[in-house]
Amino acid sequence: MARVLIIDDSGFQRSVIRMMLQKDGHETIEAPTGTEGIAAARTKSPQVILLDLLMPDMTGVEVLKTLRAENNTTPVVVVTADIQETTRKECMNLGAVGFVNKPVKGDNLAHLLKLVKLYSA
Amino acid sequence: MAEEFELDQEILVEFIKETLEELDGLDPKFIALEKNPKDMEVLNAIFRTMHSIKGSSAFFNLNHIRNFAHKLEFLLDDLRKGARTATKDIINVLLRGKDRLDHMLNRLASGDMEVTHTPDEAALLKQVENILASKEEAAKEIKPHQVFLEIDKLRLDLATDGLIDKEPVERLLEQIERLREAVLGPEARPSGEAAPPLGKMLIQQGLISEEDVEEALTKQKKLGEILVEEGKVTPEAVERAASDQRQQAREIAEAKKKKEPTPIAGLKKTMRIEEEKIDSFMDVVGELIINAEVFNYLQKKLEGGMDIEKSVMEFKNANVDFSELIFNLQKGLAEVRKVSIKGIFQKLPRMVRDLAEAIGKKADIEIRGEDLLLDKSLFEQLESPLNHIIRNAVDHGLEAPDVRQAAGKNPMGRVEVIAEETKGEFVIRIRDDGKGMDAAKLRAKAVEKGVITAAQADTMPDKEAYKLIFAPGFSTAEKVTDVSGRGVGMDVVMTTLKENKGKVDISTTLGKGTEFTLSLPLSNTLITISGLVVAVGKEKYIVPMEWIRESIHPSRQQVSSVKTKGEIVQIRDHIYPLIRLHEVFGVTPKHKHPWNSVVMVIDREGLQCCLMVDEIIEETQVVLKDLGKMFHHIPGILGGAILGDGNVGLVVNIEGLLRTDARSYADH
Repeated sequence: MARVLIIDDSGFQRSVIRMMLQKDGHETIEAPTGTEGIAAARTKSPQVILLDLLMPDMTGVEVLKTLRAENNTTPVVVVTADIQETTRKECMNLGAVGFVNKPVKGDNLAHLLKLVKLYSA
Repeated sequence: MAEEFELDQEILVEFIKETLEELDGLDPKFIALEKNPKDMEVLNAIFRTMHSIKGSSAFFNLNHIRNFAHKLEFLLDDLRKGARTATKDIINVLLRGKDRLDHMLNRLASGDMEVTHTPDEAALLKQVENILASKEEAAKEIKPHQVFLEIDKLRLDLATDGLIDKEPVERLLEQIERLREAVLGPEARPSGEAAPPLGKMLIQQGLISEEDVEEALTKQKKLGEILVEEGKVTPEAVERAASDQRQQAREIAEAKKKKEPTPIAGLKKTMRIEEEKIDSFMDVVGELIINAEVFNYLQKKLEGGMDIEKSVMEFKNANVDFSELIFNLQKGLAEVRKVSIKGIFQKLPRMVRDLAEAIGKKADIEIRGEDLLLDKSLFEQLESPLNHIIRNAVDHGLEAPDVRQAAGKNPMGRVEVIAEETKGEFVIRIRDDGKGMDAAKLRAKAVEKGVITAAQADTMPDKEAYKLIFAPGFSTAEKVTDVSGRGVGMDVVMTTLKENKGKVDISTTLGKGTEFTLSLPLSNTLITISGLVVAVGKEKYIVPMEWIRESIHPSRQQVSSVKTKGEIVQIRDHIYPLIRLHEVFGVTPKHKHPWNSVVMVIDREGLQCCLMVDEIIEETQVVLKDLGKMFHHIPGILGGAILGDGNVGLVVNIEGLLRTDARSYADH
C-alpha cells in the first residue's frame, strides 16, 4: 500500500494515526518536528504527507512553503483541530490536497483513509 | 471489539503520559509570562500545549478535559491577540487551571472514567467564563477599589526598587491615601487585604501572648454543648446525633473505599533514554561475547591438560579484560540511570511564587545548575527534602516585606538554589537572604519541646543546634499552617539524606540569611570498594582499604589494659584503643588474645584504633550492596558484598563503628 509520512509534534497523535494507517495496511514514517518532517520528505520519498499545523519549531504552513519551494510535489493532507478559514485558503494555495479534522476517528478517520488511498494510487 | 479496546487502552496510556509531561512543563512558562506578559514565544508555547490537550482529549470523548482546556485556550488566545493582558489574576487562574487539568489526568490514570467536573473544577471553569465574558466591561467601568489595589501593587514595586522614600513619592502616596479614604471610607486599609483575626491583632498590640490565644481556642465550646446549655435540646439527643454523625462518616469512608477504581495498566514507572546511550552498550556487550569465547577456548584447553602454565597466563589476561568490561558496563548503566534535575527544579519557581503570595511575602528565586544529571532513584528521593527546605526558607527564613524594608533590605526576598558536582558528591545549596537562625533560641525551644535535655543543650555547638530544626517533633508550626506542612515535617530531610548516605550542613548569619548544603555521594547505586577480606571465627568481613594504615602482629608487651580506656595497644610511641571485631558483631573468634591475632591500625580523619581480627585473607574489589533499611541503623555495617568465593561478606563501616565508640576519640 502507501508509504505515509506523519509530521506532528504530539507523540500521542502520531500513535493514533500510525495505528490506524497500519491497520489499513500502510507503511508509516514519523517526524516529531517540522524540520525533521522536511528532511524525511526529502530522503524517505513518502507517497502522502500528513501535516499538523501547530508545532514548536515551525508551523505546518512554513513546512508546506519549504517543500513547495524545493519543487517537492508530494500530496499533503493537513490534519488539525479547528482550522481558520484564512489558514485553510493559504494551505490550499500551497497545494494541500485535503483537510482532516482532529480527533482522527469516526468520519474524520474514514475521510483520512480515503484521502491516503486516493493520493497513493 | 476486544482488539479495538486494547488499541484504545494503549493510546490512552500514551495520551496520559504525554499530557502529564506537557502540563509539568507549563508552570515555569506561566511564571515567565507573569514577569514578561508580552513574551509571544512563551504565550505561543502555552497556547500550543492547551490546544493539543483539547484536541487529544476529544479523541477519547473526555469532555471534561476537552471543555476545560478549550476555555483556557480561549483565554490564552485573547492574550495572544493582545485583547487582554496577563495580569496576576489571570496568571493565577491559568495556574490553577493547569492544576485542575493535572488532577483530571491523574483521576483518569487511576481508572476513574467519570467525565464530569468536581465542584472546584466547575467553579474555576465558571471563573474563566466570567473573565471571558467581561471583555469590554473591564475596559469601560472603573472600580475604585480595583484602582487602589493596582496602586498598592505599584507601591510594593516602588519599595522593591528603593524609590519609595524619595520625598515627592512619599507626598504623592500620602495624597493617594487621603483620596482612598474619601472614596472608600475610613475603614479602607492601605494594603487592600482583609483585616487579621482578632487574636492576631491583640497579639500585635502586645495585650496577650500567642499561648493565650491557643488556650482560648481550646476552650471554645462545641455547638452541641451550647445548645444543651441553652435548653434547646437534651444531652441525649446531642449524643445520638453525634453517634449518627460518626456512623455516617464511617459509611461514607467505606463506600469510598469500595468504589476505588483500578489504575490503568501500562502507566508503570518509565524513563526516556537516548538511543545513543543504549547503542554504546552494544559495543561493550559485543566485546563481552568475544571474551566469553576466550573463556570457552581456555576451558577446553585446561580440560585437555595441555600447557597449564601458558593457559594460566591466558586465563589471567582474559580475566583482566572481563573485569574491565564489567566495569565499563557498570559505569554505563549508572550513566543511563541519570536524569536531568530540571524535572525537580522547574517546579520550584511556581512553588516559591504561590507560597510567598499565600503568606504575604515577596520572593524571587534564582536557579543554577539545572542541567546536571542525577541517578533516577536519588532524584526521586531528593524532591521532597529539597521542597521542604525551600518552603522553610520562604516561610521562616525570609521576613515580611515591611520588616525587610525597615532593616534596610530589599523588600523582595531572595532564594538561590544551586546544584553542583564536586569531588564525587552531588551538592545542592539553598541560600536565602532572610533573618538567619538563632542558635540560642533553637536550643531553648528544643529543650522546651523535650527534643533534647538542658544538659545536652549546654554542650551543643551552634552548628549542631541549627540542625535541631530537622528533629522530629521540633517544629509544630509547620503542621498547623498549611504552608510548610502537608503532613511531613523537616525531619523528612534528615531521614532521606541519611538513607542515601548524604549529609546536610547549615551556615547562618543573624540578619543576613541562611545556607543549607545538601550533599549526596554520587554513583550511590553502585559503589565499588577496595578492601581487605578478613576472617573472624567462621565469618568474613571486608574492611575498606582507605582506613587501614598498617597491619601488625602485636607482641604481648604492646597490649595492656588501662582502667579508664579499656584495652590499648602501643605502637611505637602511640597508643591506640583496641576494638575486638568479634565483640562488635558477637561471633566466636579463633584466637582469644590480640598477640595471637592480627591487628589493623586505623588512623584517619582524627579517628584512631586498632581493629582485632583472626587473619587477613586477601585484597579484593567488591561492589557494595545495600542490605535494606533494617541495616541502616547498625553503625558498624556499611553494606554487604559478594566475595570471590560466592559467599556474602559484610563491609565494615569504620567511621560508624568508631563514632559510636567513645574511646577512639579519647586521645584527641
